[in-house]
Amino acid sequence: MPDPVRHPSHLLGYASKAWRNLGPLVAAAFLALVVTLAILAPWLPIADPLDADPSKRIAAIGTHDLWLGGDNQGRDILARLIWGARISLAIAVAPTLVATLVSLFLGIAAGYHGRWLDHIIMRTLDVFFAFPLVLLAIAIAGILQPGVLTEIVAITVVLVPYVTRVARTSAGQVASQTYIEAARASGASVGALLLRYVLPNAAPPVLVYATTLCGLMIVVGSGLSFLGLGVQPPAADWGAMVADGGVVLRKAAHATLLPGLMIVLAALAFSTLGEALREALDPRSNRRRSS
Amino acid sequence: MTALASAEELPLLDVKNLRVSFHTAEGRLRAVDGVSFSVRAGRVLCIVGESGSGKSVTAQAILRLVDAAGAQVAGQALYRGRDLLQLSETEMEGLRGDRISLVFQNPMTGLNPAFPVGEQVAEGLRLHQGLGRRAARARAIELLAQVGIPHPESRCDDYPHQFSGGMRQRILIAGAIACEPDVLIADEPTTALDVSVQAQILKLLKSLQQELENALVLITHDLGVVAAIADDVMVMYAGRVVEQAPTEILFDKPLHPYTLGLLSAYNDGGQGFEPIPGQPPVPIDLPPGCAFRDRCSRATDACAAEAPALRAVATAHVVACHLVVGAAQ
Amino acid sequence: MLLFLLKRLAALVPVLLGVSFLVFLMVELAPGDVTTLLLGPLASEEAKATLRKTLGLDQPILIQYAKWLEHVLGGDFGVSIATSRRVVDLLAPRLLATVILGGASLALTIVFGVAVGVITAARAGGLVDRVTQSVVLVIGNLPPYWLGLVLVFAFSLQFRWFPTSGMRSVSGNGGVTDVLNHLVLPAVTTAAAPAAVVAAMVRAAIIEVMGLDYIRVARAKGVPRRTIILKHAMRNALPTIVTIIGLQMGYLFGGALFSEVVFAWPGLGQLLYTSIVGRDLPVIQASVLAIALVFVLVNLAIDMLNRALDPRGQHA
Repeated sequence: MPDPVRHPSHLLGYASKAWRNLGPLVAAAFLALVVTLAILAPWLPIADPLDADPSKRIAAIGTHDLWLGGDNQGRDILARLIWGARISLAIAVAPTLVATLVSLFLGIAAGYHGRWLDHIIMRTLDVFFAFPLVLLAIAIAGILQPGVLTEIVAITVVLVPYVTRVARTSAGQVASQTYIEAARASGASVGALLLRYVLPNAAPPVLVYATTLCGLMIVVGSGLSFLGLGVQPPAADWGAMVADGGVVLRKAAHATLLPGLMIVLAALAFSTLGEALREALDPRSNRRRSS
Repeated sequence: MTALASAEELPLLDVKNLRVSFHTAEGRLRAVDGVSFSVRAGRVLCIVGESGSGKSVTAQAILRLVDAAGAQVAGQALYRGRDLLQLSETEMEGLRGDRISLVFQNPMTGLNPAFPVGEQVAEGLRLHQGLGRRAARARAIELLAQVGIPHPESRCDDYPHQFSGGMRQRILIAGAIACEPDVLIADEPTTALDVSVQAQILKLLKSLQQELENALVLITHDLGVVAAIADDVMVMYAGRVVEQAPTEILFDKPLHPYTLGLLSAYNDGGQGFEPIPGQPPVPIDLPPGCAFRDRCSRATDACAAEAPALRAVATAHVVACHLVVGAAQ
Repeated sequence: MLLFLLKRLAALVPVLLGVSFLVFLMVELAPGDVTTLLLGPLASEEAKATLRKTLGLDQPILIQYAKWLEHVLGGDFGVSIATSRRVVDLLAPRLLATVILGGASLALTIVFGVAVGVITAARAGGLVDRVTQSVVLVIGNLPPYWLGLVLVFAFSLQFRWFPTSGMRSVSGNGGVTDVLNHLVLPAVTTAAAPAAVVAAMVRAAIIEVMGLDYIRVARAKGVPRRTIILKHAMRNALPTIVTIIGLQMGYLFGGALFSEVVFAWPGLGQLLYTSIVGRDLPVIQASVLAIALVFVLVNLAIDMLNRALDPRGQHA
C-alpha cells in the first residue's frame, strides 16, 4: 500500500472545517464586543462624539490623541464609531425583530389557513415585491420626516413582505404534516394548535432568514443614513459618517474607510451567524463525512 | 494470481492486486482490497457480490473514475500491456468510451435530459473518431437499430424523457459500444429494469459481444444473470475476491462457504443473498482474518487469526478459504 | 409562449394598479399640508380651503386616485415644484441614463458572476476555490455607497484613471468613449455585490449538476473535463443560473440607486434623491413609479427567458 501522502485538499479540508466551526464564534464575539461597547458608550473613557474641534479637522490616525483620527469637523472618529454603533445596529436589528414578529403572524395565518386568506395576503404582498427593496425604503423614508424612527419604520415595512413569504412557505409545510392533523383530531383548539405546534416548527427557517437579513439591513439602513434620511447631524451613525467622510475623501480617506469597514464587518458577522444557524438547524445537511 | 489459465491469447484487460481506499470520518475504508482478474476477447466475466462488496468501485477504479478527495488507488490495471493507473488524464480520456467502455446502472438518470439521444449516442464517435455531424448521426441511427430501438431515424432526435427505462438502457449501451471498444464493463445493467426487460438486455449484450468480439465484464448481484450469460465468475466479498472459476464449475462444485450459501439460495428460487443471515462488514479497520467468518457456519479459530489467501484448487479455479485445502474438500 | 406572455401581462395589471395606488398613497400620506406649501404659512384658512377644493383634495381618496391615474396614464405627472417644468419631460433622459448604467452593471454581473462561478466549480475544493469563496463572501457584503467612494479614492483621486462623477465631461466632447469612461466606476460599484452572490450560487448550481449521473456517463465516454463543464453541466444549470441572476435584480437596482447618488450619474435614482432632498413631491412620485415600472418589466423579461429555456419546467 503506497504511503498515505497528504493530498493538498486534505489540509485545505481541515482548514475549512476549522473555519466552519471558528467563523461563527469569531462573528458572535465581534458582535458581542460591538454591542457591549455601544451599550456602555456613555460610561466609556472616550471623547464626546459631538465635540467638534476645528484644529483637529481631518486629523490623521494617531495624531492629536485621536486613535482613529478626526472627521471633517474635527470630531473623534473612534468615539463616533462607538456611539454610532448604537444607531447603526438599532436600525438594523429593531426593524428585523418587529418585521419578523409581524411576518410570523401573517405568514402562519396565510400558510396554515390557506385558501382566501393566503390569497389576499400574498396578492397584497405582490404589490410590494414589485418594488426593489431599496427603492421602497428610500421612498418611504424620503416621504416622512428624516430621523431614526423614520428609518426604522421604512425598513420594517420593507422587510415584512420578504419575511412573510418565508414564514408562509414554512407554515404551509408544517401545516401539511401528519402530527398537525393528529393534534387537530384530538380536539386541540386552533389557538393552542398554532402556538404549540405550528409556531415552534415553522419558526426556525424564519429565524435563520431574519438573522441573515440583519446583515443586509445594516447595509441598507446605513445607506438610508448615508442619504441623509436618518439621523440628523451632528448625531453619529456609520452611514452618515461615510457620507461625511466622502466630502474629504482626497485628504482624509480614513474618515470614510473606517465607518464603512464597521458596516462591512457587522454585515459579515450577521451573515456568518445566519449561515451557521442554517447549517445547525438543517437536518438534511448533506455534507459528506469525508473532508 | 490470475484465475484464467489461458495460454493462447493475451488478456485484453489484466487487473493485478487492485486496491482502492477512501478517507472517511470513521477511518480508512478499503473498498477494494487486492482484487485481480483478467478478461480475454470473446469471453464474459461476471463479478458477483452484494452491495458494498466493492464491485462497482473496481470498475470505476479501472477507468480512473474514482474522484473522491482522499481516495487512493493502487495496483495495476493493464490494458493491452499499458497500465491504466499510470496514464495521464488526457490519455485516459482518449481510452474511455473508445477502447474501454463502462455502462452504469442508471437508465433513468444516465442520459442528459437537455440533449437528443442521437447526439448522446454519437458523442463518442465525434470525440474519438472525429466523425462529422452528419456521419455521426447516420452511425447513431445504425447503433440505435442495433440495440433494438424501433424507428431509429425519427427517434434519433427525441429526448430521453420520451423513452422507457428499458429503452434508455439500450440507448446507453448504444453510446457505450459506438466506437466498438475492446472491453465493455456493464455495472448492474439490468437491476433497475423489469424482469421481462432484463432478459432482453442480457440477450442484447451477449449478441453484441458476439458481433464485436470484445471482452464483456458484467457486474451483478443476481446469479440468474450469471447463469444466463457468464463464461467465468468472480465472487467478491467485503472488497476481496473469495472465489473465481468458469461458470459451470462454480455452479457445479462451489467451494467457498459464501458461494455455497449464494447457490443454495439461488437454487431455492431466490437471487442468491437473502437467506444468508447477517450483513457484510463495512471494510473500515477490519480485524485480521477472513471477512466472512462472522456469517460462516464453519468458521474456525484459524479463520479469525489470518485472512485466507487465494489458492488454486484446480486449473482455473481459485478459492480463498482456510477450510478448502488442495483439490478436494 | 405567447399565451404565457399574455397570462403574465394580465396578472400584472392588478399589481401595477396596486403599485400606482401605493405610490399615490405615499405622497398623500406625506406629512405637510400641500396648501401651506403652495400658499405659504400666512395664508388664511379660507384661501387654503378654496385651493383645496380647486385641487380636488376634498374628495374621497379613491376618486383622487382615479383622477391622478387618469393623468398619469396620459403622461401627465404634474409640474416639478423645484423647477416648474413638466415632470414627464424630466423623466426621459434620466431613464436613458439609468438604463445605460443598469445595462452595463447587469452585463458585468453576468459575465463576472458566471465566469467566477464556473471556474471555482471546476476547481472545487482546491486552493483557488477556497480563497475565491472568501473573497466573494466579503464583496457580497460591501455597501455600494461605500464601495463607490473607495473606488473613487483609489482610481479617480490616486490613480486618476477615471473621472469622479457625472456621465459626461464638462468640457464635453460627450462622445461614446467619454460616457464609457464615466461609466466604469459606477457600473463596477453597482455590479460588485450582485456579481459576488451570483458567483457563489452559480458555483453551487454547477457542483450540484456535476454530481449527477449523466455527467458520470459523459466522463466514462471520455468527454474531456472542460467540455463536460461548459457543455453538459452548463446546459442543465442554465435555467437555474437565469433564476439566480433574476433574483439579483433587486440588489442591482438598489446598488444603481446608490451609485447614481455617489457618482452624480444623471439617472432616475439621482432624480429621486434630489427630489427627496428638495421635497419635490410630484417628482418623487414620478421617479418612484418609473423605477418600479422598469423593475416590473425587467422581472417579466426574466420570467419569459426562464420559460423559453425550460418549457417543461423540469430540469436536473
